Amino acid sequence: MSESNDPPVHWLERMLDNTWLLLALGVLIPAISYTLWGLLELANLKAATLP
Amino acid sequence: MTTLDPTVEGALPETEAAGRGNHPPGTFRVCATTGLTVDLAAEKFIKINAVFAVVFLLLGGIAALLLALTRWSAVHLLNAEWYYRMTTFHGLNMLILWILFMEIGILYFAATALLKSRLASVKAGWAGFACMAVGAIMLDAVILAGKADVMMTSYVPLRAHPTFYLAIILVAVGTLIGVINFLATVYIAKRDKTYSGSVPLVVFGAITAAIIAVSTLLHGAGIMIPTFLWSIDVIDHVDPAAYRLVWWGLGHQSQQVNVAAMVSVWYLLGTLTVGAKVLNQGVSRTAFLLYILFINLASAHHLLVDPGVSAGWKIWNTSYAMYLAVLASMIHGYTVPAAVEVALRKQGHTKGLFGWLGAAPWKNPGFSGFFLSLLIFGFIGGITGVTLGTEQINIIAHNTLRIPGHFHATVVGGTSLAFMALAYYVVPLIFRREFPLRWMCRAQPYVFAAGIVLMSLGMSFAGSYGVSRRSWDVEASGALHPVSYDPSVHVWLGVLGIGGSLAFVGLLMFVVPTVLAVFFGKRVEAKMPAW
Amino acid sequence: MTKEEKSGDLIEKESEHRGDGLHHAPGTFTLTLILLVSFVVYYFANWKALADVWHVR
Repeated sequence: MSESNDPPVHWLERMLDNTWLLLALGVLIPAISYTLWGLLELANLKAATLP
Repeated sequence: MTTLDPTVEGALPETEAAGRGNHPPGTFRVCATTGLTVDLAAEKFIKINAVFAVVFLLLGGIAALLLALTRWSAVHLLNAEWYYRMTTFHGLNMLILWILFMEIGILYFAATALLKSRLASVKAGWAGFACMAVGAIMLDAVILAGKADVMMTSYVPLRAHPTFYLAIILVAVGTLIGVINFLATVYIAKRDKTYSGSVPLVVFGAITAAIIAVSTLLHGAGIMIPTFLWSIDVIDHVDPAAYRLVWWGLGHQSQQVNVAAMVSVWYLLGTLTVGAKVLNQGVSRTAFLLYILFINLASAHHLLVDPGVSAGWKIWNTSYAMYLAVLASMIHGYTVPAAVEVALRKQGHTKGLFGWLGAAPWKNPGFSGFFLSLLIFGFIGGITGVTLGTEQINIIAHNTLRIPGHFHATVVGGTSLAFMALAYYVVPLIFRREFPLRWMCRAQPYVFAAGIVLMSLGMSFAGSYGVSRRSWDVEASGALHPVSYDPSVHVWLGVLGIGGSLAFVGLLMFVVPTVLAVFFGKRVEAKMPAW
Repeated sequence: MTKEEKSGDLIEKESEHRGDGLHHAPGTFTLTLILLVSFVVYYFANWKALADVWHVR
């Protein structure tokens, strides 16, 4: 097996080579941290009372 | 091209042709200058996207001149109606159309030439381009017809003609098709083993830009489709606070696509101009990863004075998370010039601290444009950006001219200048045309950079005195409560006007030789003439 | 760039060239220090401007 002679690939390098994982993270993180969290806060706003 | 041209059957020996990726015979050529494999279908799309990009750059540039001459209070050229119309037109042509067409060209180049791959789908390429082109023309037409004076942000309840929203949706869908076509090309290149190991760093940067673009375009669809339905009375209400939040997921994230694309172009131009090698793959790639994970959260700084979202949401998204993306920019800001320095020192330019910088090819507009872009982006755009994005400081700067002062340094002095620098290589290598007026090309990055720096400083200082952004009348004449500014404001607005005019001259110095080269330039028969 | 070394080759051989770990770039390092000092000055000036208009009692 020639593959066993290859040096092990670092997990970060494997992650960086995985375009689809990066795509999922790149879409999910802003969707959760910015969009969903923000929209949840707006949805839970109480109506302002007039002064 | 010479005997290497494989479009001439049998021109390449079989052994060499075997190392040329997954291209079917007769569908590619080998660039005599760079040795890159150029897919002929992708080449067509790169050309057509670049031509459209330059057209919209010119249109947006004309609007920019009119706006600069209006904000220059001593000139005050346009009336209020045309000022706001041109602000809308300028923003969309520059921030969306010029940049997106150029970026699709860059993505197609990166996935095909750098990965030695054919384009995944020619039909998808045409479909995406058609959507973008039709949308773009509709968009400009409806704005110029006076039916969409809603500014680029088009905050509800301001209401434009439905064509305006439909046009933006079309541009977004077309761009998304282009981005998916790029990702599919990356996929087939990997499947067909057209490269070994990891993709080159420039392609990784392009993948980063594409991922950020997917998030951007999903936000765009998420807000523009309901707003379009509201404009044709299918739904009766779009919540203004929610609109602002989701719209900035489009409006600011699209600028992060620019950042990733611009940094990729820096790395590419470093290699093309001085033969720079990436200093550390892991470090540069990790910096791009930080962009993918965190840069999009920075959109929140547009809402730092909005009352609906909490301090926790604001501070997390604009500070802790954004600083990780700033760290990434600082890494690129070091590794790109350091790679240039290492390359030039290896070539013997070792005198003192900055001997290499003095010996750099400053007469090559590809290099000068790239390096000036890096300096303006870092020193003016970066420093102002981090400061303005701080929640407490933002309160004294929000909605003042300091904001356009910041982003003209990042998007124009940074991205646009880098893309112009790239064009000095794209035209001879892809269009295979020589640039005429080479003295003008050599001077162009300096004139453009000087204009943008002056304009940006004028905006920033006027804004520091409280002058509002996107406002036709600084003095608010006729208002119930008189508004007065420090008189020096008018000096800074004059600096803005002069800088803007100079930058417009720099823009023409780019557009004229580029158009002459593309349509009337002498054909590059073998290697491109060195700059 | 040497004449034999084309840009395309440099990009293609990238994965073989893992990097110049001990690279020597003192000029760039100095540039980054200038950037850092500029940032510190600008950032401080902005906090000072904020403190001048927004008094905390």
